[in-house]
Amino acid sequence: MEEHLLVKMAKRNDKLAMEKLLHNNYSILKGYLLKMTLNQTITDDLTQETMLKAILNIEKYEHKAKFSTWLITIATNLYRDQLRKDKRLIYQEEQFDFKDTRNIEEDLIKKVEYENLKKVLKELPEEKRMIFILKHYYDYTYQEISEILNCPVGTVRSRLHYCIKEIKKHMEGGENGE
Amino acid sequence: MVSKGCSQYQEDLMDIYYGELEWDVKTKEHLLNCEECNGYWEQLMEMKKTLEITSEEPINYSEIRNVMEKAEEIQQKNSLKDLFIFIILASGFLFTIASLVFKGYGRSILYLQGILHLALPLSLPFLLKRRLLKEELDEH
Repeated sequence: MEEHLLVKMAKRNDKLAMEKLLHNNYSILKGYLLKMTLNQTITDDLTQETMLKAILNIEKYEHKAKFSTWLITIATNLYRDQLRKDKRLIYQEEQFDFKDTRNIEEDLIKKVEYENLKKVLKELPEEKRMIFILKHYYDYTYQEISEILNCPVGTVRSRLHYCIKEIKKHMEGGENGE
Repeated sequence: MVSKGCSQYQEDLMDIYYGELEWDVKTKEHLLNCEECNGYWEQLMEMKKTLEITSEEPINYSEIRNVMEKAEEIQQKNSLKDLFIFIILASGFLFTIASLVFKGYGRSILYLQGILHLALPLSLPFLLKRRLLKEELDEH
């Protein structure tokens, strides 16, 4: 069923439609948060909080952007709130522990990929990292990112450029690299 | 040290890489003749491989179900809270009306009620039109 129909039904308190919307967008939401927080525990908590907020506020959702974009906006704001409350979140280190994967091989690939990603992304400041993830992994336009993060398009572009320079340094084994 | 020209070209290359800008002849020519910018472009391509994530997060159905249940609990609590507030407000309103009637304002209240009963249905077409417009906007 098309997304706009599911949204319409969910707004009329159709629980199955709401559940279907969450199923369809779960992987995107969790993947985004995992890349963003680089921490499994915080990701699990924020995923649940985001879904809860989405269910309780579905009436406020205007179908201008995709449902996943709305979820990402909620998740970003919740993460920003957490960072404001507890700055230590930035420095928390955690080994990735994937319990939901279907087999050991998949689990291993995932661990290697995320550990690799963590090495590079942890060097980027949070606000800049958000922009890089939204552009690099989710292919949002500068305009969409500026709307999600509530900042000017010029800032999105300059921050993305900063991220690429930092990643380039890391890849070359420069001062931020290993 | 990267010259100002190259820095600008590299920002344009980033835009092209991310599909925000189309290739133009000048940038293509510069890329062919500039080692620095050519290296930058190659590193953008390399970055794609380095940061690749092939695995997808599996859907945790029980987690979604738990959140749905939690939301339902909160909604039920909120409905009870709303009902309680309604009862308090309605009681207050009835008490005020009863006090006014007791003080001899009964006739004025009846007139006011009559005017409201006649005037309110007139606003109905505007309210319906607003709702239809909102539904149309939601559909698009």
